[in-house]
This record gives sequence, structure tokens and C-alpha cells, in this order.
Amino acid sequence: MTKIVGMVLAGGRVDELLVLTAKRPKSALPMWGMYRIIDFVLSNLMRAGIEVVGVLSQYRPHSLNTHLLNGEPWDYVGRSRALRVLSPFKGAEDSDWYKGTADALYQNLNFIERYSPETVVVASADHVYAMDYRPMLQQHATSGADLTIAFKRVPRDQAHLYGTAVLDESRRVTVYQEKASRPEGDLASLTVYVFKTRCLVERLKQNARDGQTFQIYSEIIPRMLEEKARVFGWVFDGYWQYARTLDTYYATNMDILEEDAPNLPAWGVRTNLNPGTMGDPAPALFRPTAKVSSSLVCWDAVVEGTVEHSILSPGVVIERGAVVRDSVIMHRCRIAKGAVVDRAILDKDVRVGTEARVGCGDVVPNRLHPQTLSTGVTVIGKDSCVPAGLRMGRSCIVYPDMREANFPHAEIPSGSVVSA
Amino acid sequence: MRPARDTLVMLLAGGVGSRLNILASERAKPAVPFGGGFRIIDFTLSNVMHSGLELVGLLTQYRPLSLMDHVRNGEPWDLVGRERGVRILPPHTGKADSDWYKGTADAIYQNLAFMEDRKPDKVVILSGDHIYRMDYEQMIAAHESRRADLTIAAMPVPWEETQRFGVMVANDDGWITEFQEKVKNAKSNLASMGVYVFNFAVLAEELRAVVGAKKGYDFGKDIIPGMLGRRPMLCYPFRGYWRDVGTIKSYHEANMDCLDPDSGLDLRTWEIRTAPDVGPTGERSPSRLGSKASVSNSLIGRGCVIEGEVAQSVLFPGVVVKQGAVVRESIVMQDTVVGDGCKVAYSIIDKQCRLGNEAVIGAGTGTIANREFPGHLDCGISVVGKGVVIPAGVRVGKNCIIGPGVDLSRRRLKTVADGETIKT
Repeated sequence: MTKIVGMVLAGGRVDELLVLTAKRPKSALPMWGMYRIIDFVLSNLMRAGIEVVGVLSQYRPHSLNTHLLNGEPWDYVGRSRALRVLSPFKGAEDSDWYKGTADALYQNLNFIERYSPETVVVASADHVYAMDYRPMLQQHATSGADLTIAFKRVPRDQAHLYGTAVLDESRRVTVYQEKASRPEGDLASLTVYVFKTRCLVERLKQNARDGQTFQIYSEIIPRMLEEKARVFGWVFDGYWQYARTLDTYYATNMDILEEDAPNLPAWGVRTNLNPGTMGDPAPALFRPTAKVSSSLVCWDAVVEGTVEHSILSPGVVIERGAVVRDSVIMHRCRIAKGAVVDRAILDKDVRVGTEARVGCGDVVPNRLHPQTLSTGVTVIGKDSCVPAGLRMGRSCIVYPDMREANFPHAEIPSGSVVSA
Repeated sequence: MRPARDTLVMLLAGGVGSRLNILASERAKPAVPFGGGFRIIDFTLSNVMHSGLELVGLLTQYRPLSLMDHVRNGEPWDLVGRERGVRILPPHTGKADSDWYKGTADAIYQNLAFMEDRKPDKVVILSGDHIYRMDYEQMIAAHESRRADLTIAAMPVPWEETQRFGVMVANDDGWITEFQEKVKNAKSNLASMGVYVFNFAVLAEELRAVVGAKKGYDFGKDIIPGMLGRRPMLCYPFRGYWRDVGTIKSYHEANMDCLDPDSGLDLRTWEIRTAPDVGPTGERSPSRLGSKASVSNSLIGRGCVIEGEVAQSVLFPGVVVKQGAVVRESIVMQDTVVGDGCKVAYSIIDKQCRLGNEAVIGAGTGTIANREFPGHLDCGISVVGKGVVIPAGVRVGKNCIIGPGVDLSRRRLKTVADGETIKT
């Protein structure tokens, strides 16, 4: 019998990430050179010994499906082990697109019930962290909780961005508020929930009958508290990041270059190294003119130029005389001779022409999307080509698949958006 | 038509790399690591894949464990499927004449049953010992169009090296008229690459007549010379990079060739595939270069952590080079740690070594060949075996051999002189 089933919430498209999530859900976004964000939660579930995992996916699931395969990279192949991608489906009645996290779980109740688990772990695929779920599961069992929620203490001035809670001495949740403007507590929800299966199933069915809203945070948790269900908290104090905006996505990437960065070998994060998606794993080649410091470099990269404080994903080519500084360069990008890339995110397969400059001039917020991009990071969408000699400012956004004709001038001022 | 279905590959991977000394003392030569993340056999297996060949019999004998772990079911080379596969063929008992393989032809002979079951039209015989990129499909096409019974791939080698190879003389039409196996004063410098395409019926007949009658056990010495004048044998000239990395010097040179854009060895355009290397704690993370790192003209495998200087070197996954350390003209294999201020010059360091702070490997002048193995080591390279511990401050000279597992911290010695060997 399977005691615990994991349900991973991976469908979400986050509008703030704009061009980076134009073709993929947030959970499939690359992170730290060779991973995708969903790798972190899957690796956590694997290490906790949870053998059955359903991945709830809805928005453009192609890159996610390719990445997850049959779950083999996370050891989810075997008689009792399984990883299934649960897409929306049509049925006899009331099938529809997932309307929210709770609705996605409800529509897949038959997947959960097939395994008759005592416990269901529901976790978001959008977070970067390494957490041992086992002590939390242990507390959940011994406290007789109906629901245990993982929290992390955050600075007071950021608490309004999260669902927050107040716990009593027995770690029972007394208050839960979703993105309140002045929250009572400073414990932010990590979107890691451990449910007693029976409670979750009853709750979801009741909601379906009542036609209630469809999110766990806005509906399930408050109603359980109203009804005096046993809701407990578990406080996690390790590294945990949430790429909510382009600025925070960039900052989270850069965290890995800090002196006190997360220790990736110790985290033991697994990913899919399938050569079809990741390229053949030839070692990185540093030519005689290469100068690389304070950086992360993946296999198959070829460096002839200068790289400082940056992340080079597999297959990146930095030609002679090119300079890459404070940047995140994704798979197979090519930076041509003499080009300079400063404080930028280049999505996969971007080409920067000779002598082009990406990221120069003053820091201003992006003109159209200041709420997600204001720190001067320039973001270039997948498969775009930056023409030779072009000068592009800071906080610019370039849409995927842009070609020379899409760039109106040889000088793109800071804060611009380049689209078709 | 693609040759896949009627052609069987027999890959001789049992090789004892005795002149590679401690690098191949606990693994077969094809399993010796190469190029910062590969093993020697990856080149042949990748050639098989790119040539569209689908079924491989892998003949193992000498210390096959690393090799079997590496090849597994052949998936990295796309050899898994209904018709595709790799079958491991170890020496076996069960018939009167089964035994340890006595030579290349004997190894194939003892697996006649395996081949007959598959009823191939042709058999391609390869060795897992060489670094090269070759399209076997073209060679098979030449074999067929010229109606040869046996086609042997050949390339010119320097005259002074001919005695290491089987050499052949061919007439203007490419038919082989003479064949000499590892002789002094060879008549030709056209060396056999150990790549054979045989008509299966001919192969079976010749093996039965020679090996079955216990007259000989080797292709180069017995089978091929015996076919001269009776069977049409075609010389298939190959022009390209090909190295038999059978000596420490040639092994080091070929690794350095990976760094030279003009050498003809290009890991990227050759599309060499290998099995995923899984580190001690699971996945290898990206390599991390510190603020004082300096890396030039080098290959860096996954999961390395570099704070010091690396120049003209090949680093395999998981190598740690600490601050102030300098690694030059060297090959450093998986998970070796090079301590603070340690200097490594013109050396080969096997996996999982611990080189202490301020230690020096490859110090000295290098004029003295290795005393115990002068034939293996006289070019100045020092070789440090798997899992060796060199304590802080110890100096190891040139042409030295430190055997696998040796822990020098258990001895009170400050220097290992040029040409010394420490085996236990």
C-alpha cells in the first residue's frame, strides 16, 4: 500500500515573468545553469521516499512533459513507483480546464484514491529549495493534524506578498491570511501542504457541491480553520526562493554565485540529462584566451572570451573578445566576437551579434512592466537574434524569435520593449 | 540500403593495456577515462551509432567491471530497441574448446554460436582501444561494391612505429598482397587499424579451419596471412585522426589533442556520446569557478570547483583545485582534490586522489626514466594511481609511478625522486 502520494502544482503561468514564460510554465524555467525549477520539488519528494507523484500541469505543458519523461531521472520507475503528468481531460460530466489548485486536485481525485494513501503532500513546483519533508511528515502524524503547512519566517516588510500565519505554542495555526496588506504574522507559507487524505477529499467534494472558489489558499485553508479542523504549521529555516518577478528570478539565479551559496552537491538535486534536451555531455572547453571568474559553467560550453560573475548553461559559446558580466546565459546561446552582455538574462538559443552591447547606460524601470523589471536587468526571449553592433540599454525586454527587422533602431534605450 | 540489419558488430573490449601501466591495471584498456568525461570505448561505440549499426556483441575478458558499468544496456549510444542492442560476451565454459580467450580470433571463434543465431551477412570486427571518428557504413559499402571477402581499414603510420602494428602491402587496385604482423623492417607503413569487415560465411570457415584446428588464435598473426592469395582482401585507406593510445605518452598526447583546434580531434563535431557520470552524491552540478580562478586552454568536466590556476589540462568531473594551486599540462580524473598551493605539472592523476597543500607532482628535471618500467615512462610524465594520498609538502619528481591506493602519509618521506615507483 502506498502511504503517501505527492501532488505537484506545476501548471501555473505567471504573467510577471512575461517573455520567459511565453512558451513554458514557470515550473519548467531553467535555474542555475542545468536545472529546471520543478527539479527542486521533485528531488525533495524523491529524498523523502514518496513513491507516487502526480504533476498537475495545464499551461503549455510540452517542455515540462519532455523534461519529466517517465520520471526516471528522479527514480520514479518501478513496480510501486510512479510519476504521472495529470493534464486536464474530458469526462462524462463537468470536466474543464483546471480553475485553480483545489480544482485541479478535485479533478484528479481518482488518481489519489487509486493508491488509498493516508497522507497527501501537495507542493508547488515553482520554488527553489531543498527541504527534508520527513520531520514535517513525522510531526503531521504525531500531532494528528488534518493539515500541516510549511512556513518560513520572512522580513515583516515582505510578509504582505505571501499567505501568512500565526502559530500557537503547539504549532497550531491560529490565524491564516492570504496576501493581507498588514498581516498579523511573519510566517510565510511555502505552498507545501501535508493533508490527511480523508480531510482533503471531503473538503474538495464539499466545495464542488457548494460551487466554491477553487484555490487551496483562499478556500480550503480558511474553511478548515473556521470549522476548527486541526491545522498545524512546520517552520523551515533553509534557503527558499520564489521567482515572482523578472527581478527576483534574476536575483535567485545570482544567489548561486555568492560565497554562502546553496551547496548543490549537498542538495543532491536531480534533473533530466537526456541528451535530446540537454546536449551531449562533452566537458566545457576553455580556449587559451578565456578568462572566467566567479561563475558557474556547464558542460559543452566553449569560452574564448571573458566571463565574470555569470551563469553559463550547457552548450553556450562565448567568442573571442566577448565579455559577459553579471548575466544568466541559457542553453546554446552564442555571444559573438567583441560583444558585451552586462546584467542580462538570455533565454535559450539567443544569438548576440558581433560588437553588440546588451545592457548599457542608466538603470531605469521597464516602461511597460515596471512591476516586474526595475533593477536594470535586460531580458531577451528564446531564439532571438541581437543584430551586430546594436546597443541595447538596461531593463529592456526582447520578445522570443525577434530578428534584425524587429529592432527599430541600432540603439534601443533603457526600459524599452522589443516585440513584433 | 542501410547496413544495419544484415551486419553484426563484434567489439573486442578485453584489452589489457599493459603499457598504460597503473592506468589500466584495474580496468580494461577500453574503460580507461579520456577527454574529461569519456572512456576510450566511447569513440568506437559512437562510431557504431553514427554508422547506423544496430547490434553489438561486446567481448570482455580483462577486469570487465568498469566497462560493464559504463556500457550497461547501450542506451547512451541508442542501442536499445527491438532490433538494437549490446550483448556482453564474456569468456565462458560449456564446450570442450571453451576457455579464456587466447587471442582476437579465438575470442570471435568462441562466440560463433552467438553470431550464427543472428544469421548476419557481414560481421564488422572492431576494437575498443582507439581514438578516432570513422563512418563504417562507407567502408561496408566499399567492401560490398568490390566484392571482397575481408576489408581491412588501414592508415599510414610513421616508419619507426611500424613494428607496433600489423602492416600491409596493397596493389594499385587496393587488393592486399602482403601482411606482416608486428615485425621489424616492415615492407610498408600502412598499418591495420584493427577494423575488419568480413563476409560472415568466410569468417566462420576460416575460424573453424584455423582456430578450430588449434593452428592459431589471432587475426593479425594467423587468420589474415592464411587468407593471402586465396581470398580477396581489400585495403580500405583511412585519412583522419586515429590514435592507438596504448602508451602513457600517446595517451597524454591524445588528451592534449582535444585542446588543439588543429589536431583533428574534435570532441564536439565528432559527437562522441558517453554514459552519464553520476557523482558520489547524485547528479553532478555545474562547475564553479571562484573569484581567483584562472582557466585557459583546458577541458573542464562537470561539477569541478576551481579556485586556482588550470592551464593546458584536462579535468574530469568533480575535480577540486584549491586556491593557489596550479595544474599544467596534466590530466586529472574524477573527484581528485588538488590542495592549496599544490603544483601539478605534466602528470596524470587518476580518480579520487588527495594531493595535499603545497605538494608538488612532476618536480625535477625528468632526465631519468622510470627505473622499474623504463619502457613505459621516459618522457617525463608522472602517473598517480586511483585513490592515492600525497601529504602536504611532499615533492614527487618526474617519470614517477605511485600505485593505486598508496597512502604516502603513512610513510615518513618528503620526496619521491625522479624515476621512482611506489607500488604499495
